[in-house]
Amino acid sequence: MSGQTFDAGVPPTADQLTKIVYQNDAGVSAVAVTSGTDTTTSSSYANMAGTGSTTSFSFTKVLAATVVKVSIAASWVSNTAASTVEIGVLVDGTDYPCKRLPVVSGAGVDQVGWAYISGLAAGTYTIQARWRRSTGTGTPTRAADQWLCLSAAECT
Amino acid sequence: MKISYEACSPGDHGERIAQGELDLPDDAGRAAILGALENAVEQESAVVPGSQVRVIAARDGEQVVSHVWDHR
Repeated sequence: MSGQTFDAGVPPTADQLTKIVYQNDAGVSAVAVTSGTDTTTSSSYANMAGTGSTTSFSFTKVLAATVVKVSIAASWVSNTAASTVEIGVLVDGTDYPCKRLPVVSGAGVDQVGWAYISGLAAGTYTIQARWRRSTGTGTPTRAADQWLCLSAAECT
Repeated sequence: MKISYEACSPGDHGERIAQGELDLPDDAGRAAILGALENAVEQESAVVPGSQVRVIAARDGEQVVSHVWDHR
């Protein structure tokens, strides 16, 4: 918090408390598949993958009472036919869907979404990018031109 | 072209359920490669229908495919 002064033994004012901004934000950005392709046609969530591609990171939740906001942005192409893809994250053994998007055959998209996760105790968690083809017959494909951004922040 | 592959159940500690090598035409496209991999892996008795499968394939030591599908 900037611009605020506290004195020992003097409780902060209500105005000062409302100006407190706590930020604990981490993630990965602009991560490409460096070799070959990463594809899925599964209707169940699977980890995003790909050689040299970081698709997860470790996040330390400092406070117990906060909510974790996870954001994901992933580019992909629906090869051979149309597909509807859900992107999400796996945290502490639970999948959290973030965004569903139908895409026509051959089209490339940048899919963005987020999830609010409550009830997580303080501690260190792996935030893993996931996706699934919920409907359609195409082959959702990530390659060198399809980047991934993934972040998490704990919020009050 | 020869493509080596290894299939496993999904997850960080997925169990390996198949491995082998395919000899495909040099001009095989992405769809042909994925189809051939699915067919090869699904002939393995260890693959349970309805289960999710991930296959990693490489050519000349360089990964060319990471593909996930539901075994029919």
